[in-house]
Amino acid sequence: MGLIGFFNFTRPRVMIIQSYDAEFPWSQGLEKSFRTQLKNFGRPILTRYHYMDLRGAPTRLAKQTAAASAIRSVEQFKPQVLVVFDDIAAELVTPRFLDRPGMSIVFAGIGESLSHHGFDTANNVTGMQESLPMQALYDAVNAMADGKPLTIGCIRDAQPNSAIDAKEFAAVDWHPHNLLPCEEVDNFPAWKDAVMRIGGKADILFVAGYRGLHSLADGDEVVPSAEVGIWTEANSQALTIGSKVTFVGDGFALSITSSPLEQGQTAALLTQKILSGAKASDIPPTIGRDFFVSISPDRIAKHGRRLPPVYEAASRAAGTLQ
Amino acid sequence: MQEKVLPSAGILDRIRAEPLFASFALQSFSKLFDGAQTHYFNAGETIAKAATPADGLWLSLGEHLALSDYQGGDLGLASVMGEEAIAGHASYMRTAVATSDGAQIRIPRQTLQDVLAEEPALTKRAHNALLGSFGGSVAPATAKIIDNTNQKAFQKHFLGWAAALISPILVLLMGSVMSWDLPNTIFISILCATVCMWVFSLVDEFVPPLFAVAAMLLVDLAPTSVVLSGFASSGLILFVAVYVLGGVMVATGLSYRLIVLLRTILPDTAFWHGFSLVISGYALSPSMPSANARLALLLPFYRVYCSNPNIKVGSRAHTRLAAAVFCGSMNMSPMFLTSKSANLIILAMLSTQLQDEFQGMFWFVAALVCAAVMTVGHFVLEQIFFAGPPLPVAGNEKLRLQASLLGPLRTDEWFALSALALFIFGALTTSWHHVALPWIGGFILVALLLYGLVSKKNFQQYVDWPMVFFLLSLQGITSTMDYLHIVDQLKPLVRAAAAIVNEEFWRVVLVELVVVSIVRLALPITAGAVVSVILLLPLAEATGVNPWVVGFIAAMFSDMWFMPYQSSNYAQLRGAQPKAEMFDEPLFLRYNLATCAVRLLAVFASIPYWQYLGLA
Repeated sequence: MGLIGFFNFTRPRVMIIQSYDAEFPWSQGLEKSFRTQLKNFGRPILTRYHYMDLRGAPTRLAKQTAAASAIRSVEQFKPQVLVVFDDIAAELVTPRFLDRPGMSIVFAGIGESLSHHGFDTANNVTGMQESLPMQALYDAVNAMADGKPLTIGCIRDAQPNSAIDAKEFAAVDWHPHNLLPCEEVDNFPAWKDAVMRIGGKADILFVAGYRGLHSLADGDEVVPSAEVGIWTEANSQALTIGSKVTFVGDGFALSITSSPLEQGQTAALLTQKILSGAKASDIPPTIGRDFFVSISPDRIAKHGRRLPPVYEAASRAAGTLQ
Repeated sequence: MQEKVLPSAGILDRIRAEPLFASFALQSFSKLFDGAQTHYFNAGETIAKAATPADGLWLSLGEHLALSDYQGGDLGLASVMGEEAIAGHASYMRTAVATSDGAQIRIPRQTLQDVLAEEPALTKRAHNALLGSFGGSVAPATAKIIDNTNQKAFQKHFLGWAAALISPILVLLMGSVMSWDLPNTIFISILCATVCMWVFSLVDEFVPPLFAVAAMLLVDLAPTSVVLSGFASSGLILFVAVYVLGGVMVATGLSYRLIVLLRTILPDTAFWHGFSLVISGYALSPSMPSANARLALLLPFYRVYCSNPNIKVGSRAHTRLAAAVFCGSMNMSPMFLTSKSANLIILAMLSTQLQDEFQGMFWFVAALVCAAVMTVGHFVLEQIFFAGPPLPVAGNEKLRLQASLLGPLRTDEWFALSALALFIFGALTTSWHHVALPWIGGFILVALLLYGLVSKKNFQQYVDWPMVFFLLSLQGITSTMDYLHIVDQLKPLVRAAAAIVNEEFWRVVLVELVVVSIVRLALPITAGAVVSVILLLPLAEATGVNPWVVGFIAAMFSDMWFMPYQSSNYAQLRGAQPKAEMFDEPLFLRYNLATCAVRLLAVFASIPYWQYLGLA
């Protein structure tokens, strides 16, 4: 018993905090690649996975209790490396562990700026930021434009992550296409009105976020994402594009997302470096470059658009073709 | 003159006519008949001699056996001799001599032992027969109480079985008419039958969920790995380990010694007597998951305190002691993970990360305010309900002698104490060694087995195996519910409840109180707590409250009872003294009602604490 305790005490400990739940495809992609890469470390590691389960539009109370539970787990487990996936975990959990002696933080899937989370000044943080593959999206829009300038509308729910994506989308030079300002809506009835309105003037509709729509203006209940996707694709005159792993699966037409596999694998590589003696402050953060393609050729064709065959091949290879 | 050889029918008739074997099951008669032998004796021949091995029971056709004692004193004539073989004596205490020629029937000792296992009343009858033989008179038969409850029980059972058989059929019909999803319909129909069995107490508490698991496997409702997921859970090992540890502490006498020691340390006044009962119960709680077992251990001390000549039967002082022993055994039930079986089951229903969080001492840390309020509340209620003039008590010379009589700790007790200390130390230091509590418990279990402190029989006896299967079956039911996404179907109800709650945690408490109170009207404590948690966990998810809080509050409220039939512990306390020496029951029941209010107060008082901990 003492031997086991000593063995555990001396084994490196890594704790992974996921913002969402274990069934969410994005989280699954992060975790799968993280685990696969970490196996190559060569020494036994004690790992613990903690899921904050904050998908959709979590209430203030849900965020508080999830944060308290995660922080308690970290304090109890005392990991040498704390891995945080996505902005929610970074916002709610990491602040009290910044600059904590004996603990390094590795982040991945972060869309916000490093300064927003205090990662730029802390001496124990490194990781990989997530960035929307804007060039790839631009190329896809161009491919569908067939030489003519298109009008691109934008819609999003009221969640913070959606704001980040919308901001990144708007920062791109879409010339010769015309980008409309992004409309933010909180609930599904307002969403429906906005989709119909934008459809009247835009050819393409970029959906920056849709998983946190309330069913009513005053309620807490969140509309299932597939319900939003199916309705929007069926009723929008504009072709829907986005940058979420579940986008096409939820009923939309085209998605090019950053790769959770690259994010998870990089997090594991950084973890291994730190466990081998490197300091987190000596490893500069990087930005992800790899991306996933998901398309539904039928839904794209319904809007009178076509993409070169390579997109279908890429989507089929990724197992995301609908 | 008797027959030289008895026909088989004659042997059977004689066995069936024997008063020792009155009202036996047919199977028992069959076994007795199977083992019966006949031997021929002439008149005056000795059939069995005193001080020789009692290797069988002798039956004669009529009173043809002349009995005498060791010294040859006449004990009269009898038609049966050899009750010593049933009563467990190694040799005959009497000599039997045949008074006429004839065959005598002999039933070997081994056959009698085989039947004894199924007919335990036989031992008492044999003892009575021996006493009557030596005493020279037969004890008067006790008057048979005409019991009408059998009729009522039959009606209740009939109704219950009818409900258990008909309700699933109705659900299936309703499901097909309203086009419900077939797997969900089948699940609900199985659940209906299960709940009927609980509500009408048709079978023991652990049987209905076992039936549900068997039914789900039979109709292939979910993969086997889902339905039997309980067997793969760490909760099973912790469960078994804690039961064995508690059993070892009782069997080695360690628990008894600790309570005696406590009595010698504390002052010998009426208040401290009650206090020692409370504290003893509290000290037993973390290592004994059964309140009934804790109460059983404390009751002898309760009776000793009650035997104080200054305490009148039925007085406030007497009832105060009853309240103290009840409080000591019950109050801490929800406060430790291992102090109640339902707590272990509730933990197994939470996610893995919540199990990691609450399986150490954190459960108690989170329950601290409740524990404090319940304890202070008991002593306040003591003053309100049982206040009276201080009573003179006997000196504690007797206690000191009793403690010294036990002598130093024996090796077995040292081992048990070490096992307990390791368990507690392991629970307190999980953040250092990172070994989960179930595996610490498993290690302790193996150590106790290897040391030999737990034999195969002990392993069967110490562990409440029906409760283990109850745990495993309930886990199977909840896993199947997750697999079928049953809870998603109840979303409108859950949303309505979440809307009522509206992030106000005190409303969660009230919703729980209502649900648990209704469920407990029909179900016993463990099933009631667990079913309440199953119903209320989706509310935790919908409102963002930590699911543990919902489970803990259900455990707190399920211990509340208003009608005596709802509490097996109260029945146990009542049975601890004869009816003529009962404490003041109406006063106790009023006290109990007040403790329900204290329980509610304890939960409300914990709200700010839980908010501080980030649990609600």
